[in-house]
Amino acid sequence: MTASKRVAKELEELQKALPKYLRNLCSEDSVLQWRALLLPERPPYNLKAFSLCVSFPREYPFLPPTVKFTTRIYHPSVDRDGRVCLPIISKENWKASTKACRVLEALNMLVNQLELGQPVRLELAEQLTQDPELFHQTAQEFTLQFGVDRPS
Amino acid sequence: MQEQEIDFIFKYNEGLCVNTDPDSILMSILDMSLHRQMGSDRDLQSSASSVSLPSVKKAPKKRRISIGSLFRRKKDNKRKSRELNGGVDGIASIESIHSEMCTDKNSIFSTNTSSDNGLTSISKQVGDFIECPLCLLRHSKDRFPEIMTCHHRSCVDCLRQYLRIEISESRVNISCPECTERFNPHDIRLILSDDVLMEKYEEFMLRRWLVADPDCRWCPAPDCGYAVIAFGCASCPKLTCGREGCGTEFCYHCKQIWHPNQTCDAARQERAQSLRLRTIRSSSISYSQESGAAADDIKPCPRCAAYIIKMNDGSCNHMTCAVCGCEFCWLCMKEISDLHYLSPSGCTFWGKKPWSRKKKILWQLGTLVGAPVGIALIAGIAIPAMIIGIPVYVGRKIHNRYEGKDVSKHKRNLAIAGGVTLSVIVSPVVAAVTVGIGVPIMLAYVYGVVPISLCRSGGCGVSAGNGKGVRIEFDDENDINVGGTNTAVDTTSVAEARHNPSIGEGSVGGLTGSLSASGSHMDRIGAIRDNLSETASTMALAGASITGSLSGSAMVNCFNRLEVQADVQKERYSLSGESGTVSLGTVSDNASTKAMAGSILNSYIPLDKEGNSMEVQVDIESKPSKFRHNSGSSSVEDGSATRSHPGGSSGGLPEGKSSATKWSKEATAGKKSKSGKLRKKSNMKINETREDMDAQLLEQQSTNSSEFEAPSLSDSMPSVADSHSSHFSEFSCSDLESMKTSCSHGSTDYHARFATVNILPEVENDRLENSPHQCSISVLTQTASCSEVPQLNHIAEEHGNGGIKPSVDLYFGSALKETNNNHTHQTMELKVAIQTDI
Repeated sequence: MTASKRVAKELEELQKALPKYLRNLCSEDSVLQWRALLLPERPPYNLKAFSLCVSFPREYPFLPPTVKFTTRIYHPSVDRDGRVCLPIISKENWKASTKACRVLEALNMLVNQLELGQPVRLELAEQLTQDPELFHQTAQEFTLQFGVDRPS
Repeated sequence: MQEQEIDFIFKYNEGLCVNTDPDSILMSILDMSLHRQMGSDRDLQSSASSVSLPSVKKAPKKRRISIGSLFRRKKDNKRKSRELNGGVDGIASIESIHSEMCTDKNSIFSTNTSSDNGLTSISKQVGDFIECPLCLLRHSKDRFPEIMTCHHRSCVDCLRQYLRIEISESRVNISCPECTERFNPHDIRLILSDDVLMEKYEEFMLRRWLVADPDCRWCPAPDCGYAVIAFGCASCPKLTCGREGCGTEFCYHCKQIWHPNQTCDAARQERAQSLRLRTIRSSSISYSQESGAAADDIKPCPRCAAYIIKMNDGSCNHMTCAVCGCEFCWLCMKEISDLHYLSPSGCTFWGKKPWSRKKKILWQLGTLVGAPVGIALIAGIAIPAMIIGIPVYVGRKIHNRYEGKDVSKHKRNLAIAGGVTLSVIVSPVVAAVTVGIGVPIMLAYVYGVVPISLCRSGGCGVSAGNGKGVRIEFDDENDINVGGTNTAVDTTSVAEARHNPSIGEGSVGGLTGSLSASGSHMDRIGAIRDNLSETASTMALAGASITGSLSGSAMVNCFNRLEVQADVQKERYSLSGESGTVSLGTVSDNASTKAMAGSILNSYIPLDKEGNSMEVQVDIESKPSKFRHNSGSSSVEDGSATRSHPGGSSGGLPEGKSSATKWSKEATAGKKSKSGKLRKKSNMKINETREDMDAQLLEQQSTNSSEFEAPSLSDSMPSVADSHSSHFSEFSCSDLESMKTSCSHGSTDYHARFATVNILPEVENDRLENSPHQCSISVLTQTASCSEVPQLNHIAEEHGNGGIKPSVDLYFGSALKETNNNHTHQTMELKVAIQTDI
């Protein structure tokens, strides 16, 4: 199946040249499910790491992959179950030629830059706009509490 | 046929002017218009922009393509691309483009991959292998089919799979997997090599287009997938399904089974009652239909009535329907116009509840009134403040500057005085400039934007002031205003966007007086939307005698609105609408004492800068009795009033039937159109029943475009003309000349109007393109700035119906309908080009 082949290829390429915000990139039982560790650079998330799960559908690349946070994160675009609203992988915007590396990069940007494009948790978005200090503080506490320790 | 189709598509795609060849096959027109509709707008615009404007121009480099010649074409392209790159090898050029695309993505990895590509491309070049961006595998170059619309290349297997997935999900706006350029259907056919899937694709395309067509009505019979394009059937709303074996009759307005002698509401209630009796639990959807108010979360799209769910939690209210693509506001369920969010109307992006009408009006009026006060206040404060403040500020600054310095007092004071004097001179200038700029802007907003949106939304019956144009769209049925009616008769009412005149019973009161159309105050044409409510399927007929009304009506007003006062004589029921009824041209033939068609004009006025020819389509139905009459339709091209030309009827009709008139519409880009001329198509058989034809006319001036549709316009007042030679004769050329309505049309949206096309959604033997004999197809394609000469082919629609309704036949186009039924109704469509002037 072309999906597996392509996913495998992409995985290999990525693992060869892992970006600095990613660690421990590997696939699970099936090559269509990836696990990785995200290390955001900017506060309030920069003290810990967050584990992700990227899953590719059988019709990949014609259907977009889905990204899920398996670690809890205090972010307006990530819901309590870890589902992320990432525009680049939305059904309307997805392009078959987009690569997984690009997707991960977009995810990193979303976490770091806290853009309010498509908030999933409105109360967090409101808090961020009205009281950024408080937001950052809470996020930091949350991160310290639930985040995964960063590898060396 | 195939070749011609390809030819057309190809020409279109290349951005060449498409000539409306009189001999063109309907199918190609259909295909073309379909494709144009469904195809990428971007393509269109880019092609439009690239088209040189002298409008009627034969395509310069016509490349006749046949399927076989495609392969030849491939080579041509290759050569071309090579030339473009200055002799670089074709493969390498594709590769370089590809790698450029990669680098555009601005990611580290993409640069890595692109550099990889660069490296590999060189090596691949030798081996003639390219990496497909979808499967990331290398294939030989011949596995990459050429795509017309962009340079991206993917291997044929990936493309095929991609297309298969997209089509199976009924997504017909398929774009390239790497960019957003839509595929040409021809390319799709070639790549797919699968007829079944291709047919599915075409069917979905057709269906999507139909759904977007406001006149399309689906047969409500349980197993029937046919649709009827009921252009202009608002007044004689009985439609018959065209599928053999079906023949279901249903109502145009409520789309349910035909309910004679009942209003749509009554019929619905009756149905609901019987349903309730029968079942304990009815579907929630039917209930919500009954009550008219859908549950908060489910609402039908204003254009295609597809149900859409949205959680009302404060998320963005700007919706785009997935089926027809129409953009609308969730709160008020109206299509988005440019001014929707600008004026205080309660619909913000995140609002949860639309304002009530009262609140809206209150707010807007408040703004209108309070604005000058506010502006005056601001100005009154700002000016003295600036005039005094600036010198003071300057003085202080200088003083401070000289604080530390060791300068004599005298000098310092001199400096200060000098500075202050200068600023005293300068500051009034500055203040004046500020006020002079700011105040007009605010005034423009308050008195421009707010009244327009106020009047568009139906707030008042007063014609608004400055406006660029009014966009009138089909509104959803929830927006029916039964109340505001009586403005029609004696008052000129404004053509308002989204007006939904409901044909109410009894609201005719105002319409009874016959406005003597002597064009006294006809300087405006009120346009009434087509969307007549269910209230009167049988009631929906208001006679509009347009006697002389048109004569005065065509005044060019500066607001791009046409208001025509119509003589409305109601026989039975009357048309009520908030905006005036427009009846252009009377079609009446003989007076029958039955229902009269109300006139409804729909005007679309996309706010288009370049006005082109605009068309007003007026449907006229005249009551028949035994005759068919044709109303003259005039197509206005350039402005001068012309007389409508009686159309000829098709052969085969017994009594002087349908007259076919062919409109050719010219899009004049940005020109003032001078006179409208009616052009006959050479292959139209035109039966001149001269006396029956009426001519309406409008002068065209190009600026904005508006297009009016009057689905039913009829006048059958005894007073008007009992004879066949009805009013048409009244509208003589001279009359028409006096009518100077002009609208400019430059719509960028394509409308292909089909009248009664029976369509087989299921794949069957007859496809639309191949069996024009059955249907009357009227194709009205309007092109925007592209200099094209669209053709309007109108074919009158046939209602198989007993002769209560007026029928006016108007035939256009090569397909002629054979109607032999005396009692068939035909709506006549008048295409009148109107241009409004700004």
